[in-house]
This record gives sequence, C-alpha cells and structure tokens, in this order.
Amino acid sequence: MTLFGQNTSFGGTSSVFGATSTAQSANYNPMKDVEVTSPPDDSVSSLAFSPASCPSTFLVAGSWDNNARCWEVQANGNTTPKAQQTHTGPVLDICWSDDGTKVFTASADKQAKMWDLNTNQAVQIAQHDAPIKTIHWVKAPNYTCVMTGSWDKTLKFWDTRSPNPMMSIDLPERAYCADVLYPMAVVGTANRQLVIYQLENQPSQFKVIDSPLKYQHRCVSIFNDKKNNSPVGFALGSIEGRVAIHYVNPTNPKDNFTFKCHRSNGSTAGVQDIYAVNDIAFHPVHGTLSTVGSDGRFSFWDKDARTKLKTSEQVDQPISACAFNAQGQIFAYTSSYDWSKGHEGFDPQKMKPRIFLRSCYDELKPSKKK
Amino acid sequence: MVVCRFYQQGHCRYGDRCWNEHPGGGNQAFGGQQKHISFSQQNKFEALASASTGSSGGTNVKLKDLNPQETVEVLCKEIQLWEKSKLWPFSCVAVSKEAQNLPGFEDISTEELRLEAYTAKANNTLPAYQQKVAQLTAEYKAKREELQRPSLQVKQKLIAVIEDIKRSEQNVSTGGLFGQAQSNNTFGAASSPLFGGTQTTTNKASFGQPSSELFGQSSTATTGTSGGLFGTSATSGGLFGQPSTQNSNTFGQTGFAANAVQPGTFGASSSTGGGLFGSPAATTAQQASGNTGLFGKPSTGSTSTGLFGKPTTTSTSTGLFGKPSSDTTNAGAGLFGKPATGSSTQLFGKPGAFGTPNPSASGVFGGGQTTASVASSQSALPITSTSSVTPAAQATTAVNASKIYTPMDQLTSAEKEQFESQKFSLGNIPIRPPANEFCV
Repeated sequence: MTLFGQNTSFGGTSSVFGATSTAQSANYNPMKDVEVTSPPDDSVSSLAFSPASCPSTFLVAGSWDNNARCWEVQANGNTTPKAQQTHTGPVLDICWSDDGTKVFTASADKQAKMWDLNTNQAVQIAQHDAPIKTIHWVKAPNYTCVMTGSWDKTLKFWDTRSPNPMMSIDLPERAYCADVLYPMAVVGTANRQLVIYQLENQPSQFKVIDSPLKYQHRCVSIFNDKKNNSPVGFALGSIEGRVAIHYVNPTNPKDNFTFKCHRSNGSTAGVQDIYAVNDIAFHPVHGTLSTVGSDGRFSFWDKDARTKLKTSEQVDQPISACAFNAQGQIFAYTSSYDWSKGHEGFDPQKMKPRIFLRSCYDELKPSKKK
Repeated sequence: MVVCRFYQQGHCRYGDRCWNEHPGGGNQAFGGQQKHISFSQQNKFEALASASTGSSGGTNVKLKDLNPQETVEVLCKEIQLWEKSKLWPFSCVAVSKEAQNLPGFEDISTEELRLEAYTAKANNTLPAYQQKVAQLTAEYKAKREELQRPSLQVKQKLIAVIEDIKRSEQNVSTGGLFGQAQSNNTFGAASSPLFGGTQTTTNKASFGQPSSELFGQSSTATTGTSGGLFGTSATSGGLFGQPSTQNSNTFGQTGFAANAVQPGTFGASSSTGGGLFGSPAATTAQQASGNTGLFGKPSTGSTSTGLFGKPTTTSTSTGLFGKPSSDTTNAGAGLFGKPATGSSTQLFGKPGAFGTPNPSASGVFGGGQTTASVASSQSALPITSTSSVTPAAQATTAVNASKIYTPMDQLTSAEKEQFESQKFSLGNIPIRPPANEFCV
C-alpha cells in the first residue's frame, strides 16, 4: 500500500532518506555550513533570532520533542546552548518580544508560554481549545500583546498578565500560518482562506483575500515597502512548491505574481516531483527572501527583479524552518523531518535534526539586472 | 513572465535555466502570471476521448477564456499532476488561483497528522492511527481518480460547478455594487456546504435509491449549487456525495455556521442583486431558511413530482423545457421518472432553470414571480410573458433566459445525443439544460 507517494524515498533520482547511513552522513551538510551544537531531539518546527535590541545574538528553536531551546551565537558562528523550557506537547511556533528579554512559545498542548530568559522561568499566558499553531509578538504604540492562532479557528490577543484574552477573533478555518509586522497581520488558514488584520489602536479585520495559490497554505511572511519601510504585502507558500507575492493594495494588478520553487529537475520524464514550501523569511536589510522546502533545499530570491539568487545543494532531510538574524548576517535553517511523507517516511533513528548557520549577507544582495 | 516561445516549439536550449516560463516543465524560474494554470503537457487524456475541444497542451491557460469543458480538462490535468508529482495528498484544491475550492477536498496539514500520530503513539493506538491514515489516503485518492477520469455524470457536475465558480467570479469583477460584501461571502461560504449530512440522508430516505457511484448523491450538492453566488461552496459536500466520517464532520456544521454568520451579506446581495442574481438567491434563501420544501416530504418522493417538491415546480420545469412539457407533467415517470432519481435532482444545479419556483421569495426576487407565472401559463418559452411584468423582473428574466439554455457549442456530444433522443437513457441524463435549439 502506498501511503504518501510511490515510495518513501524522495523522488526517483536521489534518495534522500537513503538506505545507507554512509550516504546520509555524506550529504547531511552539503553547503558546509556551521552546525549548531546540541540540536533538538526531534524535528524543529520554528526558528527565531533575537531582535536587534539584544546586545548579543541568540537563536531559539521550537521542537516536536516538546522543548524550546536557546543558544547564544557568536560572530564566528560558534554556538553555546543556554537554556531550555518544556511544554507538555510539541512546540509549534516560537517568537521574541521586541526588547529581547522574553520568548513566547506556542504548543500543541493548547497553551502558550512566556519564557523570561533572565530568570529562565516560563509561565502560561494563553489557552486555546485546540493546539496553537502560530504565535507573534505585537508591539503597537498604545499596547503590546501576544497574538496566537489556533486550530480551534480563533485568533486571540493576550496581554500576558491576564488569563483572559484582550480580544478573540473568529477565523474562517484552522490557523495554519501567520505573520505580524506592525501595523499589519496576516493569517493563512486551512482550505485556502486568507485574512489580513490591521493592528492600529486595536486589532481588527482589514481584508479577506482570495487565495493566490491553488493548494494548502503552509507559510506566510510579510514584507516591507522598500521606500517607506512599512508593510505592503506578503509572500505565501503552499504545499505545491509555489510562492505567491501578494500586495495588499497593488498599484498594478501585475504586481502580484506567483513563482514555482522546490521542485525536482526531473523534467525529462515529464513529471516533476513537487515539494512543499515549509518556511519563508525576508532578509531584514535587502528585502530579498529565502524559501525552504521539503526537498531539502533552500533558495534565495529577489522578488522585485523576479529572479532566483541562489539554490542550495540538497540536504539529506527536508528543511522545515529558517530565519535571518536581525542584522541579516546569518541565515539559520534546520534539516529535520516535516512529515511530508507521513509516518512511513519517519525514521527517528536515522533522522537527526540539525540546525545550520550560514553567512548570507552577500548572497542575498538584490539582483542588479532588472 | 512570458511563456517561452522556444519551449512551446519544443526546443528551448536553456531548459531548466530558461528565464521564461516552461509550463509544466522543470524550470524553476519565476513563472506563472495570474490566472495561469500550468500543467504537465505530457499527460494525454485517453479518458477524455469524448471531449471534442482539446485545450492546447503546453500553454498557460486563462480560466475565463475557457469553456467549461476545457476547464474540466485543465482540472483533470491538474489533478493528475497532483498525483504524479507526489504532492501532499490531503489538500484542498481550486481550479485556478482566486477561485473557490473544489468540493470534497479538505485540508489536513502535516502537523495535524503528525500530532495525531504522536498522540496515538502515546496512547498505544498507533494501529488505529495508521488505519485512519490509510482510509483517508484511499478516500482522497479515490476522489482524485474520479476527477482524473471523470464519468459523464461527474464531468457534467464538474461543469456545473465550474460554471458557477466562473459566474461568481464574474460577478465579483463586474460587481462593484457588492464590493466587500461579496468577497466576504465567497469567503465565508467557501468550501463548506449549505447542507450537511442530514440532507443527504433525507434524500436517501425519500428516494431509497443508493447512489450509483462515488459521486452519486449529488443531489444535495447540486441543490446547493443553484445558489450561484453562494452556491459553489455549497457544492462541497456534494460532488462526492458520500463523505467519510471525517469529511462529514468538517463539512455540514461548518457550512451552516459560516452562512449564519453572514446574514447581512445574504440579505444585501439578494436585495441588490435582484436584477442580476435574483433567482439563484431565491433558491438559496429558501433553503437556508430551513424550509424543507424541495426534498422535504419523503411521501412525494415516489414520482417525479416528488423530486421537484410542489406541483408548481414541476410546471416550471415543463415551461422551461418547452416541448417535452406535457410528457413530464402527466407521465413524469417517462422523463424524470425512476432513472431520474439520481440525476434529475441534478437539474437543480442550473440556477437559471429551477432557481425560481419560489413564491416565498417574491418581492425581493422579481424573477421568481416572473418565471412562476410563465410556468403556470404553460408557455414553452419563459420569455414570452415577460413583457407584462415590471421592468425589474424583465431584466431578471432576460438574465435567466441566458442561463436557462446551455449554448449549443458547450454541450457535449453525449448530451446532445440525449437531448435529441425520445427518452433519456438511464445513467446518461444531462444535468445541464438543453440548448435553445432543442426546445423549439
């Protein structure tokens, strides 16, 4: 019986989940990047770097092993594990407060926690009726809060001191992905729903958007306008190896477009293998973006020139998440199983999650050709 | 980005590195402008041999430029591609971007499945999880296969769905009037049926005839479809009539909720839309209000009248179908009789044709009255009596008329054959209205 595709290995050409461990060790780090020490024991769901306000750079990761971990990252790429916190279920998302003193974790145990890094204490700050899939810090001039999106089809805003949410907004479907860049928030849900919220004064629904993609939403990331540095649109990734660049109010309808990515090159056989886009991150300085996919590759793109800047070699596992640090010097990506081939594709003995750091500032410079 | 000219001719020397779009090909460059549907051009469609107009293989396609038949083909290719390229199997899917989801496919994310696996492992119920996944996989696969090799009935239903999707899209673009409200609507209703499992059961009870195939109990769905505006969503449950437990869970209730949340929108579009969308709205309104009307009483379910609920409805249908009218009313079994149980319900799929017989929708829905009166006067062409009605109603009817008939060139040869013959043959009854030419 075939459960997820024809065979459990990726594609026909290269076996990612190769049978031999030698083959695996050979290409687990084809890009020769710096490996983070003491990685999580199970797949990494999300990565986040500390904000620019932090004197030194920290990386946090949420994992399916129920833990959130924190490393200090030195300029040379050396990492030191600093602390960790535990949920009673897999951690599905993680984010920082703007001052860099706290980390927020969202878990499948239906709780969100606030983790004070100074005291290494974590307290529950949010409760949903179903696993919490997304968590974001909202910093407005007149309020601060934590936004959580859950499979219980609600979006809730918490002031971290009260057990009750400041506000709860019904979503059309289960929350699958979200992003916040004040004053804009976007939530992508199951069954191709997409809602924009504005956060000024207080959060409110701004616009419902017909999905620019044909399949299941997977990740979303807001980008700034180059000139006035305010959020104008978002990049949305789906399971169908495709990303949509979408402006909320396009000056020209042609500003919005989609592009293919994370597909095998086996076009000679007529059919490509198509992989999910697992995460999208925008470079904080250049405004270019990275995508990572179930195919085990990361790619860098210039959305304005509509060109690809770089594609990585294939890592031996799917890349499940990625992040840039605040200065845009470091690109972090994690190779760990993303369940894209179901339980049959899961081999916890062989699949060791890894997190890599890459010096990326120059690689993400915008393309010169227009 | 432009489609590569050389690729189309079959000899682009840049291959995967080409800057231009290679639809269905392997290049990873930025591609796909809006509305473009890309698919693998390698797929030949034996299954669609009956389809006369083949859309050109390797070019990008604009949905609005296609007739429904071509759209179905594009969709088939899309689904084939889905299967072959080993995409995540549990996803919703749309004919094109910005279109509504096709009925029957619900999103399940990797994380949701994974969490279930972890929970199952913790509870020592892993076999049950595996069984569930296997079941889901089989179910989604069966649906995809059905769409890849659509039977005549499925194809017709698909065409009806796609036409509705396109219509609602056009409405949006021409709209202006509805603006925000409309998009809300599509949004709220998308992918959730108006009527959940309950209705399906009722159907089954009254007709007692088990669905012939996977897509059998389309009646529910198609009824929903007549919503037009709201409809496509409603179809969700239906295309694949007999949803698994999983599906019916997610469907059903949500559908109702979603619609209930939007009462304002409902009202607004129906009142404003009286002219344009009058009749479909009427139908939906009636159904949404919980009126058991159409399929309500099992007792009437025995004959063709049962199918259409009230006598008036039947007469409407006769009016619309012109010539065969007397046959229908008197000896309903002949035309819409037993074989019709499966498919005559599908007739409701056409909003224009049967959307109107709803007196309760009067006032707001001018069209409802118009057609009704036409029907009772037994005239062959509904349009004839329009002149005597209010201008608003006239407009409605005019629009209706265009919906009442299917243009000759859009009918499949199989459908034409059916319309030309004395009797419909079992299993091949067209769900779309005949062309005007058949009704003279």
